[in-house]
Amino acid sequence: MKKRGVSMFPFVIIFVLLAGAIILMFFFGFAKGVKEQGESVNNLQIVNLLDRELDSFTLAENARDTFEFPSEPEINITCIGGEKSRIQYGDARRDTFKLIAAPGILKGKKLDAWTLAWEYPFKIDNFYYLGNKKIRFYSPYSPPGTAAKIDDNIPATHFSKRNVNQIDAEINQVDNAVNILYSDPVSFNPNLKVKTVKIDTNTKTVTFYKPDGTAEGPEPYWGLPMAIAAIFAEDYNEYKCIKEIAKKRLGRMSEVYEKKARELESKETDPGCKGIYQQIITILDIPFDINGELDGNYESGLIKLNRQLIGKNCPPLFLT
Amino acid sequence: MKKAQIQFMEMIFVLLILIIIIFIGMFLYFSFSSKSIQKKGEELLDLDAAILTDAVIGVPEITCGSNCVDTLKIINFDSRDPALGTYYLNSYNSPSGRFKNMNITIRRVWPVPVNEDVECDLGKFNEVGRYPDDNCGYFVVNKGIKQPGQSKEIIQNAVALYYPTKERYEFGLIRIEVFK
Repeated sequence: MKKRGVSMFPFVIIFVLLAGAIILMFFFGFAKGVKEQGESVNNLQIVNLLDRELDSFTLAENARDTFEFPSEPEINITCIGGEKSRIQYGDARRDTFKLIAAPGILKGKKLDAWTLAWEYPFKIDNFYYLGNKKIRFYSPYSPPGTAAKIDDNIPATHFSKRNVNQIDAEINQVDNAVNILYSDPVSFNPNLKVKTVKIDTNTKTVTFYKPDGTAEGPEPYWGLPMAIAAIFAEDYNEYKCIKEIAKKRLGRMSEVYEKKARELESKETDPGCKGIYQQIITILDIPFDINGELDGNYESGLIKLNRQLIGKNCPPLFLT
Repeated sequence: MKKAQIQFMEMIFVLLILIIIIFIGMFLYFSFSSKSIQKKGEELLDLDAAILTDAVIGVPEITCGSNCVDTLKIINFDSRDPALGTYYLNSYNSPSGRFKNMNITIRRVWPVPVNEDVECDLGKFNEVGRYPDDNCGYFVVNKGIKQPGQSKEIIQNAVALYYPTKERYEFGLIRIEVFK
């Protein structure tokens, strides 16, 4: 029988194909890994950029700015367990103790940020508000006083002095609409994009209304910056969560000023001044009632006593 | 062994070497790019000097207004107070500790202090008649600990020091050492 030679060609082809496939798989896996890591860094860069921009507001009493991102991120701001705020974009996130109020997910290349110093009556912290052109605020009527001040603090570019029932044509163009009311009757727009917030400047409370008319609240607010936080917050629960972080800050700052008042009292020789410091210490020692709400006399009492200190030429507790 | 078999073995050997070289190349490239991404990540955590100074001076626990710190508040401030939890000292990715990895001191500059190397603390504050003119020269806001391998960046800025008991202002210098 004639011996036949075995052709190597098919084996070489199979080998080359297998090796090629393995190399290609490796390259694809590698490229995918690098791409994912690049995206992750990019997301982290955006989250950090936002947090850093907010840091630059720390000293501001009242400031506004527009941040521009290199891409068009979907940034989600959430309050976590009354402990902290979370800035999240994709898999990147940054937790912060900042008091940030934002109406859910913010999508867009540009982001508008505001800050107001929360002075109650001394500086407690800053409230930060985030929005973009897809979020609009509507207030049909604001009586003079606190209500007018609240409206004044919402940038005109995002604000319309109109009734919520007149905005149907605009709703399709926005992601969120906030209907701000200062008195009854409460008017609704059943569109799911519309949130209604009633701010009662007499009782210093906010009530949230869902599009179906369900009321949540009333919940007290402590100062104008917190009332504005209610307008920006996604919903009632988010507001309560932000308020809880704010409460911790207020408790902490009360301790700081209580210690300061004790030191000032210990160095004071004038009995009149000593008495005022002691009254201040009493207010700051237990700022919250058994329900966790702030004593109604807290801000006004401290302002009054601080004025008395200034009037008597004693070192004031806080500078105004 | 036949010639064809030898050629076949040679080819396999060459291809194997080629694959090994490719893998080594990929490994090196990947480790370098990974290091570069890590470096970029670290850079992202760096704070701009101006923002950092503002962020420290603006902390309500020590501030008394724009570019002003209340010395009585600093004396009573303890960033390591357990009641504060991790508010000032936590690390990245837990809520941003305002003073994380930082040594923050404030020196009295003008009027020139007598004891410039003595810390102004509660003990010195209680030395009636001597505080702060005769008994101390600087305030400590936070004591950071430099870990092995960390580099140090120093930021300094002028700041007004307010003394509530004396109702007077002095000129000071805030020094922030950031460990990275």
